[in-house]
Amino acid sequence: MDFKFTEEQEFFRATVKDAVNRLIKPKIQSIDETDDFPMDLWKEFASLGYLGLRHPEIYGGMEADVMTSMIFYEELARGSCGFAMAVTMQILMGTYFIGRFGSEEIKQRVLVPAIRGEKIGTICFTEDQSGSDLGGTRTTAVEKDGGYLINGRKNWITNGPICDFCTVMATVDPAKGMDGLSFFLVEKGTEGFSNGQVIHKLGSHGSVTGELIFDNVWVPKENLLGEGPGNGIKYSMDILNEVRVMTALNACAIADAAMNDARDYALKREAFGKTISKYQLIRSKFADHWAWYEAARLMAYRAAWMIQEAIACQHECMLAKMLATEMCQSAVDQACRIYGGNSFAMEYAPQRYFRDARFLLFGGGCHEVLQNTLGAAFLRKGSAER
Amino acid sequence: MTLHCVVCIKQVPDHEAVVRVESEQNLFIEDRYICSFYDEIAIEAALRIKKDHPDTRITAISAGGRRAVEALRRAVAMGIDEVFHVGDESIESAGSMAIARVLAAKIGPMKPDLVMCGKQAGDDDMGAVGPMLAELLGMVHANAVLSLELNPQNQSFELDRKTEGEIWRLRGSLPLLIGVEKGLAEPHVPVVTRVMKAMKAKIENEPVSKLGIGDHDIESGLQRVRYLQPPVRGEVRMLQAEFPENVEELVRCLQDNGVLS
Repeated sequence: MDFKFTEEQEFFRATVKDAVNRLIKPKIQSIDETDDFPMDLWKEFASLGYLGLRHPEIYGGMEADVMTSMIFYEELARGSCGFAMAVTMQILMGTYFIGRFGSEEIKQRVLVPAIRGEKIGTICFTEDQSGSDLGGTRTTAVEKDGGYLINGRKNWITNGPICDFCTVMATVDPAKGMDGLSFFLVEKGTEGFSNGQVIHKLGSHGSVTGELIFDNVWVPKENLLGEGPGNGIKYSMDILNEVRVMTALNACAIADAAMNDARDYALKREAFGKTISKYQLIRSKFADHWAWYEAARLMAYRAAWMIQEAIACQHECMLAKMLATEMCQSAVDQACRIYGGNSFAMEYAPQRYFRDARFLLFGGGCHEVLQNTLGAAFLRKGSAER
Repeated sequence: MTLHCVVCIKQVPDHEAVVRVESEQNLFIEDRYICSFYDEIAIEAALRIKKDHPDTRITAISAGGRRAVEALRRAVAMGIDEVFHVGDESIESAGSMAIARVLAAKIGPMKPDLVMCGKQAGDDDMGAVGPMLAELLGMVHANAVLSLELNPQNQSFELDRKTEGEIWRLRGSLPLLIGVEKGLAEPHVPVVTRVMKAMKAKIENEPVSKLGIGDHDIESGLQRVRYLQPPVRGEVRMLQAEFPENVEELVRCLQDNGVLS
């Protein structure tokens, strides 16, 4: 076993950290306050080429492996959580199926400008009545005139209000549940495709989120992404592992940032004649956090390694996501307690970490659903062992 | 006319790294290192010269242990293709003169037109290697350089250097060695294609022995006697009263502390 990152991976981490420190961190406060999508920052960041992290070099990407990508996602989340959500949507979910299944013509039209940051993409899973329950998808795609007619509404779409294209999950046969799901490319300007309401969120400011409406949207057959209709759920499982580990590492980054700030505060803030860092109850918060954080981060990187090595790891990815995001809730809460009353003031960072951390609980499957799946899997495992 | 520009760089503790005196003989440095601030400016300045004079060949060199490789990867990420790592851990603590001798042994045969160093390193702030290297190479030297104009055709330069309260404009003939000052160039954030290239770059090491450097050359003429904790700033008390009551309070305070009688 070897738990060390390679020299090259450490170098990559340091380089991403430097980019985040110089480009993103100075803008965190203003992004959080305005909650506007930071288009100038987006363009600046895109010009560095990171939006093509996972895509082939021939399209302008860098073909980074899973571990390298995870290092990027972790360091990125140390900046603005909202901006990280917008960027990771573009890198991973928003362009994944186009890169994997799109025709050459679609890749040139959509993927290449997306990698350059000139077009913004997203993926549409969630609806008003279904999020973690993908089998409950109500958006339909019906074959018509050599293509598909899409009808439905998608909600909670990151980058939705500003997207130039989206990958939409729709059912070709509602009676089939999960087995009727497929992905379709829909581009801005297509008749019947429009924006609905924008959601004003508690945290993760700067990533604009909202509703997308598909009212008799006709797309040609080549916009069906993947082989034949009905394979959507199989394909989504391929990406969900990565999404879950990415979310876990986003959570680790936010937790680490919050507790590092809290440490700086505890070392300076005095009460009853000494810095609060000298009190046992404050120290115990750091000790508990440290143990939990290390465990969560190790589990996340182990799951990332399993994805990279093509080892079946659906449950490990769920566990990593669940543990890390719960750890993050605790970390931001403890950081707030260390800051005391100041954590309630908008001028201090803990309140932002507290709001941002909540966002990570739901993406990649809410915990109650994950727990149900994991609990059942654990019980099955017990039966098999006996 | 081809210009050859050599940039000397060093890996130093990150600005955010914890550094503390543990004892008179031991300094604790957290294991977080970056390319020295002024050295990155030197890299950027060299890249700008190449932009203005496309025939320019740029070489980056770092002398030291394994960490030097990280500085060189940074140089590759920023846009330099030719990098050399010379020496090993043994010269890390050998002092400025030893480093200058190692660098001179490597750079001398290259006969560069311009050598660029940071005006001082981000860790020990000695600012010594640059001037020593210039002497060993027999080059004209200027430190704290704010601007630089080169004329490769007639092998001349004009530069501005910063001194206390004034700026000097200097003119001369190449070859030249400069120590760069903040303001000469603004280091850019590397693009990811270069970062990937830097990650994959095979950076070979050249041992000191191959450069004809003997043990006596890396013996330091200086001995570090001990580390001392810098004095802690005294207590600060803000006088809260409004004017003119705060003046009375200030006088009383100075009297209480024996400053005024």
